[in-house]
Amino acid sequence: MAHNITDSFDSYDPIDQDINNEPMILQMGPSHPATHGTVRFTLTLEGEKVLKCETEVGYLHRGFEKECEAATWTQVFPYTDRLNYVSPLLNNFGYALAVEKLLGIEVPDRCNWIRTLMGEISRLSDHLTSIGAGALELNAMTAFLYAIEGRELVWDLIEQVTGARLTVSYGRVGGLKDDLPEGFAENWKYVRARLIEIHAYTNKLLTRNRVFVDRMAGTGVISPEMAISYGYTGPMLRSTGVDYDVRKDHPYFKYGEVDFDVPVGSSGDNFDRYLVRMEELVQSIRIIDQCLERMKPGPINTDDPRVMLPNKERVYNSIEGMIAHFKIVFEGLQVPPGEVYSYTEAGNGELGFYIVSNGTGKPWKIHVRSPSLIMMGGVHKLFEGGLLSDIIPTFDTVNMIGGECDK
Amino acid sequence: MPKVTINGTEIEVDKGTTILRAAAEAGYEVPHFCYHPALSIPANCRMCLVDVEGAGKLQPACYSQVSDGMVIHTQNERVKKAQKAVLEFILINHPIDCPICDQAGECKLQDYYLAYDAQESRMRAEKVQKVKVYPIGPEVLYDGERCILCTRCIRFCEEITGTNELTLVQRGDRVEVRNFPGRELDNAYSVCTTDICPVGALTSRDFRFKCRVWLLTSTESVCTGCSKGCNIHLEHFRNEIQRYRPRYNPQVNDYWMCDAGRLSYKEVHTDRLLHPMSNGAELNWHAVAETVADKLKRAIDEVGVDKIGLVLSPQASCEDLFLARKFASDVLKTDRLYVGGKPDGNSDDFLINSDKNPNRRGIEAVLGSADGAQPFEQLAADIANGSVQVLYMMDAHMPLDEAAQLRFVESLDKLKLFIFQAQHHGRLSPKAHIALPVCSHAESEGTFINSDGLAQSVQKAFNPAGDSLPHWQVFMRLAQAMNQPFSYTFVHQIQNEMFAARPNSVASGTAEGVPVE
Repeated sequence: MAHNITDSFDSYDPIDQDINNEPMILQMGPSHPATHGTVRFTLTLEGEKVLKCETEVGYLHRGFEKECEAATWTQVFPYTDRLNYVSPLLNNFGYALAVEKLLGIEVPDRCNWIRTLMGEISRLSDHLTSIGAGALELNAMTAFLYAIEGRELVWDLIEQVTGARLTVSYGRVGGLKDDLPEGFAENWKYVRARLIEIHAYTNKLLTRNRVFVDRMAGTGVISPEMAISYGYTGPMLRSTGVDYDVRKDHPYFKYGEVDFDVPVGSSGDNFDRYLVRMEELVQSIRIIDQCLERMKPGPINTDDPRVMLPNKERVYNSIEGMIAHFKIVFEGLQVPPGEVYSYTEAGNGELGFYIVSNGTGKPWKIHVRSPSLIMMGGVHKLFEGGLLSDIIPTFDTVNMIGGECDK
Repeated sequence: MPKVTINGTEIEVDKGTTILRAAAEAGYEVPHFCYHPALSIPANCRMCLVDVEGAGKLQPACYSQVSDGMVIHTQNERVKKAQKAVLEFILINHPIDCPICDQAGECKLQDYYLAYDAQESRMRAEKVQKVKVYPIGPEVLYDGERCILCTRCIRFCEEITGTNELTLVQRGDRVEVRNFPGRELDNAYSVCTTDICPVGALTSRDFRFKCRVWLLTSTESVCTGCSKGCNIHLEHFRNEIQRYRPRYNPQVNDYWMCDAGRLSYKEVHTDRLLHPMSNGAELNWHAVAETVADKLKRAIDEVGVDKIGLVLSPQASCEDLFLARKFASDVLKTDRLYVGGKPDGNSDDFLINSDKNPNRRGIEAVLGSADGAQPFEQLAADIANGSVQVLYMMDAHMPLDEAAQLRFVESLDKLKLFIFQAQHHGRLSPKAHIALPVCSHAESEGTFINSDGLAQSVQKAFNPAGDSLPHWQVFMRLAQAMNQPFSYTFVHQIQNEMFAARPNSVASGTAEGVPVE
């Protein structure tokens, strides 16, 4: 049909309404440069103000819990590495502790010391990443480089002990993969000195930095009541002033025997969460020092032959060792029927494993109470009412880790 | 009936029950090596010792009978100590063979060591060396070092087969199981000794080093070697059967099966017809169904419906036969049915039947009578005199002797159209105008009726080889291509219709309860 231009000009009505008074829907993510981790926020904006946020997680879902049902109890360890992959050792030990509870076995003293020590080293890596990346996203590249240098040093230590930097699989039911290597204490001394320097630099660069404080203080606020009712734990909860820390309140490993403080904030905002993490770095270093000082040589694995693989000399030279090796490798260690909930303090809060065993070599059901997923359940409360740009520092101090959140 | 208390559980059992069985009823496992429910009880392994209050010494649970008011402990410290001691003794001379032993993974010694012993040996002396890889029979090899001298194999040959080939020789730590001079373990059931051997002392020559047992998937099935229908565990790995193992069914085969049946799995994987073919060219199912429909139509127009013959195979399941018959009557519109299958073979008075076809009773059940189909010899005659010119044949087997088979294959040249639907190429596939691949009993589900009239179901174990399909699905495709489709989707729909048509023709046979092995 022929189109008459003059006709359409004639029928043109000028817009006589304000185009800006309707809320705008904005999709942030799932692949957004400032949301480290794939997550999608459907934001309803009025200007730059966030009216409503709908959170959608699950983009990194691998079916961790289901996968575990097809693996023997020991084969689950590599999967736990990939939960919170910034602090995999904490996941390893948390899972090992749960299975040991179900088995009703105790691990030797030295194993508990090493688990405490390596767990704190892992926590250093977690907090350094969170602080560094948070600064980076507010354009503080220098602070980021210092934090990542610290993390590299920590990972070097982890590499010496476990043989891997990220996917460590260092835990075992009833013990550990290996003892600490020779010279670990000296290496730690070097790393420790540098970490304290880095901590001081970061402090200088950020803590009283006007731009940084303006972006962090008073943004992403949550009240202690709200945090508790949403099930928040870890630095998120402590920033509101609640001093709940599994290490202190329900001590496991050697946390009952070492001195450390649980730093708390007061206002539950981003800046308090940053301060809590900064102080926890110091406390972790304190714990590590005490562990190294107090641990004594000794066995690192339980002596229960139904749980521990015999050493290779026994496997190759005695039928008893050979049989034990065969049964544990091919059928998995036999965990008595029952269920257990075991929880530890991971980088982001309480990491719980709910495990059901039907008495075979494989878990019948594993459920993970991952702190990240629970924090994502209430994260919209931190965003709503704030500015769009405040989502960036808030999402960083929430420190959602996709592997752990989406399972 | 005597009332006994086992580990605090009170239970009433039949008079004459052994403690081991009473404990099993009460839910307690008593470990044992030499005891086997189908054999006599020598109580020589001492693994099943239990504490009977007032009896002083520990008693063997497999042999001692319960009496009223008996109080038994199967798990107290005294018993545990005895179990540890027995296992420590047994392991003194046991070789470190697990990595090269076929039994590893299903070995009672492995199971019991971790469950009841789990401690270091205190023995520091050298292990006694004995014979390894001794050919005790044509199908079975013996390893003297692994043997724990439970005598299950000896008792099997005495009591089940009655052939008495084996005995113990030497004394003390040099004892070994041996065949009598001039004899060997060559009875028709010899491989059963490897099943009942609790350790890896007797191993099957066929299964040796073939597959580690923890890789096997086990599917409940039925042996198709003869019409006895022995119940089996069909154990497979990567779409291939690795072995058959007898499955307990007191109505059919008890715990046993014959060596020939055990090796009959090999047939499943040899000489397989894998793709539909038309005059030697491979086609897909869609194309071949069209071709068959077209050729059948033209052949019928040419020679008339009364010249079409269909051979039913007693190797096929009832579901397959049911659709074969339906295909003949509804689609081909012929009543010239013949019975094919394998020729008769040897038999004995235990498990081996002379009829080597697993489902002859199935044909009778599906047709409603034994004379609904004519014998194969009649088919040979009918082809020779020209009254059958179009032949549709299920299966590559012919129940004829060697010479007659060759003559029969020769005579197929006279046919206008020969449609051949089978698992194997055999002698017939080169003569076929159309060859259609079907899958074995391991690759489809179905029902087989054994010589005693027991209907037994077979489960699908793995995916069909090549393009093969179950017989019934082939008939479905052809009927569809000939515009007379059958309305089935699942095999159970056929079963429902089949059993509704002949409600009393078969009895269902399944074993109930799990025996203590």
